Amino acid sequence: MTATPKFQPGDLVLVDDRDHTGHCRTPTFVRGRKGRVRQMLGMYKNPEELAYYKDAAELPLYDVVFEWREVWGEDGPDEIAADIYEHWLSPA
Amino acid sequence: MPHDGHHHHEDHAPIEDVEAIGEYEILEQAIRELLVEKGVLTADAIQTQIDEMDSRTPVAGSRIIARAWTDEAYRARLIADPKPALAEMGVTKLDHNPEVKVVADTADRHHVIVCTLCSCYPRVILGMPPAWYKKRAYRSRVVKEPRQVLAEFGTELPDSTTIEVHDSTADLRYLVLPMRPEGTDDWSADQLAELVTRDIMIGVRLPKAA
Repeated sequence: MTATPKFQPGDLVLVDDRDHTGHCRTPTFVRGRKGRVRQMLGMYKNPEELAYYKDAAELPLYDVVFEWREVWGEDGPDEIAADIYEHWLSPA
Repeated sequence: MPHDGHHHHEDHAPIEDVEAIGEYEILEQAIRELLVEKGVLTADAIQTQIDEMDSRTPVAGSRIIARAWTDEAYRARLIADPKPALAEMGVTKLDHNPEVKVVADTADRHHVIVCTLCSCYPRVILGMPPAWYKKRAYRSRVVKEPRQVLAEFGTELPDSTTIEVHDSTADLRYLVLPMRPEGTDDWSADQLAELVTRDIMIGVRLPKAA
């Protein structure tokens, strides 16, 4: 399956704040936070399905950069980057 | 055993396992034995894979970084498409390992790598991760107070340098390509490789021409 990536470098995205039980690679501290897509890293099988031997769909994986204030609520000179699968992201 | 007239019976405590076997060890043993019994894997194949992982050490990474410092074209290839660039330096058998991405430090941006969810690490290049990399303290603190954590490693950065903490929790593993230290203009790649330690490639320390 080849899906067209929904997001482009520079796009502002919101990480969904949903709960998830089972295997999941989206860190909780960036859920509900806005970040900027820096790069599409490639297509990868959804780890949430792959971990349970399901026929996992391929999803775009994005390198998303978060400002300090957005993640921790206070100003700081530093940034967080995390790799987020597309089904956790919506336009912000 | 040579006899020198002295008695050594009490020199050290007997060497034996003192800790009880843990639940995960029992689980691992059971699964391993089942896989062997059912012919899915052989004990030899498992041991060969363990040897293969044990043979990987940060030296490979050090040589890759040193080459990137001394060969602009290689540096560009390493960042744009790491797999063939790593293979050029002898890091092969990459197909069964997660992809590696190289992140290059600049004058105003320094990278430090963590896996907050477990302990994802570029094992294919650096070998086994250090114990602290897997500890909750590092994983929870470096995303919240990176400057304090780096200071504990002896690394102080000015506020004008952005520390980018990269949480490598998905399909890619990250290797930090630091800035080439000052005062090394006439150094060979072999000399430079000596400066590049494991912690530098994780991003908690910086290379220095001592």
